[in-house]
Amino acid sequence: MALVRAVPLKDFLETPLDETDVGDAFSTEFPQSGQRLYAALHITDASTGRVFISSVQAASSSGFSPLTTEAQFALSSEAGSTWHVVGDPSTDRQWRRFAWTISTGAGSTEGEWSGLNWIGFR
Amino acid sequence: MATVCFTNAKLLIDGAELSVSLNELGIEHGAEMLDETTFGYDTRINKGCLKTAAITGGGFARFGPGLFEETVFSRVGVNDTVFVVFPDGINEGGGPKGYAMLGVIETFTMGGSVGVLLPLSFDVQSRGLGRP
Repeated sequence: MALVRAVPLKDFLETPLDETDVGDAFSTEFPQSGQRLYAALHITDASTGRVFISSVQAASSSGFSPLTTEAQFALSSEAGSTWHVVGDPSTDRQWRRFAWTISTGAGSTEGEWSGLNWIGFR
Repeated sequence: MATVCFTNAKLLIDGAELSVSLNELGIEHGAEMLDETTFGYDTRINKGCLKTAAITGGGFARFGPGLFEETVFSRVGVNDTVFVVFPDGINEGGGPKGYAMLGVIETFTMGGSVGVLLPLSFDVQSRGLGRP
């Protein structure tokens, strides 16, 4: 396939992230058997000195208990992008959200990240 | 759903959001047609095969790290650049959805007549969606 339709899970282009949290949960479509999950993280502005780790989480209910981490991103200290392909996403989980942790680096408690996370199935 | 007044398109190339520099943006998705016509038909029988996709855009050149000119110029010929286009803003969890692909910038075109705002345009070809 050449293109995938992308659903934004977390838009933090204008409102940067500066502390560990999770985004809103969205009821996405159930992946059909044989479909792949595509996910990307675009970081437009990054903070050095702290570590930003994020992921796409999936669950069968909006409470996200239990949850599955479907894609994990490790962009940290510079702008850029990363692309994930999940070959067998859970076909019985329709809730998804973006989650992130921001850890304090040596001597630094400040910093924020701007960017966008989206997912798609095809 | 209502029609869309095309004023709020968004384009991200890797870690750069370029909509502030763009005044035109398009995406094209197609399938190569193969001819499997045989005797007995009175109509050309086409069969869809390989998919294609392309992104085209243009706007006003802005110079500097992470800006329009640098973002496009530095990625000409770079395989597996990440592109996503949103035709009507970015709406968490909802639509209209965007269109994303791995691609490669084919052309970077800059220049025009004297006295205009320096135009810059580009073309992108798809490299598919990758594999797990």
